Amino acid sequence: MANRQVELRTMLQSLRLPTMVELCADLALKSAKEGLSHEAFLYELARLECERRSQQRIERLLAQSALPREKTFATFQLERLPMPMRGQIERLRTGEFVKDAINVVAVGPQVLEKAISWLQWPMTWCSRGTLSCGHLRHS
Amino acid sequence: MQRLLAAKRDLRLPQELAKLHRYACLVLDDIGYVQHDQDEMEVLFTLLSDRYEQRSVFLSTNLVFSEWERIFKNPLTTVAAIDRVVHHSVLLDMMQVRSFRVQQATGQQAPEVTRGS
Repeated sequence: MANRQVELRTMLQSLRLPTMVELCADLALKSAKEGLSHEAFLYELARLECERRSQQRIERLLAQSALPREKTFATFQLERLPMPMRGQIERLRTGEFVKDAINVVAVGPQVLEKAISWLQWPMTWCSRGTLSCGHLRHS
Repeated sequence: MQRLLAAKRDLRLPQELAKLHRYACLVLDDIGYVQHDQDEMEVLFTLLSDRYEQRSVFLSTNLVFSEWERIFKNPLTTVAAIDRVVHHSVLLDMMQVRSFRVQQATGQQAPEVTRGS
């Protein structure tokens, strides 16, 4: 049994599933105690792997973006925007536009400073006029 | 933009665009502040066309649409670019919104929106 556990860890490592390696033994024990099915156990293990990967990707992109971390919706003075735009910003905040491949065009002087950084977009942040690419952080 | 230009020169623009396609949203910051040459605008147009109805672009500019010819140089390209960007888009008109930084620097408790003259 012990050998099989070691072998399982080795196989998961070779498949590059570090979270499953880390949590497999504990979760197997917990699942046995709670009488979970094999499918439910495997589902939970895979879910945790995906969740951690997603979180790590967001963190990596946020770090690459070099955006000021302190600029969040909590510090954004939404009340300084005209009322219709507040609604627009709130809707953008949900990130739904990304799923639907909707574009956003912000027109005005220094608009990015005003509009985007508070959305906490993890993106590779280049100098003005250059290309930046990102991935929306759903938070 | 320089990466796209280099890719175009090396005949591997499609591959570079495919890399950017992995990102659900692309932010093009301050388009129009700096004058770009024809080649740069061509790859920008190609990029916008490539993402049209497939992936989002978050574009910020100090230029209203009637001034976009200054970005794309060619009137036909300008119309085509605006068409692709604006179709399925959210427009944030921030022309009348006062700069937070300017306001902070002057230490003013300014109104929410500057008044047009």
